[in-house]
Amino acid sequence: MPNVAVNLPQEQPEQEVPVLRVENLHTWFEIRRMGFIKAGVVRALDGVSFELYQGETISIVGESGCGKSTLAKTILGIHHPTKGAIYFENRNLSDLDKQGWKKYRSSVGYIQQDPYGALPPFMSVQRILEEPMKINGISNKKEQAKRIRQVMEEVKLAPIEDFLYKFPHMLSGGQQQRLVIARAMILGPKLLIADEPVSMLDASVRVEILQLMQGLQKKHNLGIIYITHDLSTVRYFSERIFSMYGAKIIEKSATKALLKQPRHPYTQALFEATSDPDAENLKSFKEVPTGEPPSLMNPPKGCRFHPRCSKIIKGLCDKEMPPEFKINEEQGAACWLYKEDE
Amino acid sequence: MSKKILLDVKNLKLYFRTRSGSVQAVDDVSFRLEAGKTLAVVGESGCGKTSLAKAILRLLPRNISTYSGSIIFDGEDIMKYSDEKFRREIRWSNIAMVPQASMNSLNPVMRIEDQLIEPLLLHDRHMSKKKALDRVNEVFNIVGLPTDFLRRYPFELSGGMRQRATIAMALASNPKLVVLDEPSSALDLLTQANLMNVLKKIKHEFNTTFILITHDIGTASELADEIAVMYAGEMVEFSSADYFYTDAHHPYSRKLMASVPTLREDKELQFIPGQPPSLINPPQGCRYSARCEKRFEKCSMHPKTTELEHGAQVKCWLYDETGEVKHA
Repeated sequence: MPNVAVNLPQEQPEQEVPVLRVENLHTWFEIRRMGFIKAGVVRALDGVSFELYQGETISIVGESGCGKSTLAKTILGIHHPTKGAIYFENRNLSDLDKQGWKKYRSSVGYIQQDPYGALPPFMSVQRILEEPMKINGISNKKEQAKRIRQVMEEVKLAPIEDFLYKFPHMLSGGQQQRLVIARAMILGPKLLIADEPVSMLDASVRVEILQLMQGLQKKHNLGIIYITHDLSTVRYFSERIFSMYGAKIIEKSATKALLKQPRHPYTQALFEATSDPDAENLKSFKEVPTGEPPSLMNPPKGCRFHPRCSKIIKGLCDKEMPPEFKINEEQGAACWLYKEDE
Repeated sequence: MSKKILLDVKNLKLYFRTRSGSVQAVDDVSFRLEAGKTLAVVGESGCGKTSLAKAILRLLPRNISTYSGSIIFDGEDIMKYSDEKFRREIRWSNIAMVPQASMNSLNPVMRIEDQLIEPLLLHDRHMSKKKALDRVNEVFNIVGLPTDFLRRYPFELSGGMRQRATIAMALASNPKLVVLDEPSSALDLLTQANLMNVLKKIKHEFNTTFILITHDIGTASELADEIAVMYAGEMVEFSSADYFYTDAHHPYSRKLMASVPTLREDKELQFIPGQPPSLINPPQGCRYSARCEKRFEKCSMHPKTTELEHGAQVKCWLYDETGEVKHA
């Protein structure tokens, strides 16, 4: 049978334990009418599996409503999975007690999309950075000051004294985002989840933040999940790219291989739709699928992309959900086009 | 053959009065735009892109301290028009605007068609409702929306469709110039690409002149014939897209181009350290000089605009009167 789950390239030795392992994760939200009548279920995350190793960056690309943020929030424990499991260093999160959750939360940092919305406006920089330490039992003032100094230097909010007593509104967008990163880093996490960390920033600042995150990753050997809708930033950042559509991961590829040849028709469309700055663009039209992403309350039968896909195989794509096919060592896609001939 | 200049802006200034001083949002901006061409105004947030659009359409807030210069539109200096004349003859009937996040600006309790015919009926008292509806049907076809959607309410349409509806609204009165303020930045990638296709089609078929305001230099290249780069209220470069994308002149434009990540080509990304100056008391000399790598003594004086050989204009001391590169 060709229907084998894809084993993605693992440069790591066999026995190494992934920092994060997600197995067949489902997060569904119930829609209720008038508070008690069940009106349906939104399948925000519908069967997602992957592994993330120490020091690795995975980019998750997709459009709004494809489940990217739900995935992040489920991993963070903000949403509870309906089905499936998340393993952090081989421990199932559903087995954790209160203390275990506390420890888990301090080893996963979260970088939000809108830095201004993520920072409490009434707290000074110092208090914002002290808060996670207070919650996690680092009450020694000296230790707190030492960590604040260290983390602010790392994110280049220097000279530190200039920033400590400022409030978020006194900082520029880039500085706010660096403060958010500092807050995520202060407890020494092993994993960072960055949900569109640069989409609210200007182009000139964007690169600075991405390079900063890259530097932190190298220094602390972090695992990073980088969630974005912008395919053009991922090449500078990640080793692997997952593309999501309709609450599922539809392609898992090594970054270089994907940039050379995206496999899933949806990833190809995303690729085509991204404009590089080039005066030649003026002369031609883009070949992109029209239509809208599927409703997650009532997803189409078969492949969720088939109503918009130009390479649809009638009778197969609209009937049966494609499993993940392995295309080569570096690429895999959930698309019937890659079914091996028997 | 001389080409027809549709819009000729000279020394346009728009200052806002605030408690801490006068904000120089648009400072001495001059440019010309030919009929049928698209100008993309790019720059970081807070550089005065939207203020420039509002100054052209005279959509001004109350705290104006300076509003001067000349805007020659189709041969007439519209700055000299009274507010009433401007409203009647220029705004919307000849220059239309699609404001930022306009897909959320539709009235939620009105059907789309009622909103779309409103400007037509207001601007032309002799127009019958039926004729207005016909026209609205026509523009809905142009932007690629099914005409039965006209009877719907805005919440029944997706973001991309609503955005197209507002573009249809701007096109309905057959304006000579359409100002698009970040038309696609709130949309998804595929929707954005589809919208750019629609705009491109309109541009080719109807020879409409556009001013496209955006921070996304990649998307701007889909539509732009000319590029204007704004920095701290000033237009630091104005150049045809052909030259701009291969060889930008102003040091700021170059850095800006170098900071744009590209998908198809591997390049070393750069960022611009520092922040733009405050527009309340901008520095005396070149406003970019504090962040510029090529700064030299002369930069403490305010640079003049220099015209280069292929019509590009640059506000930088690196280029002297003859367009020669100095000190580079």
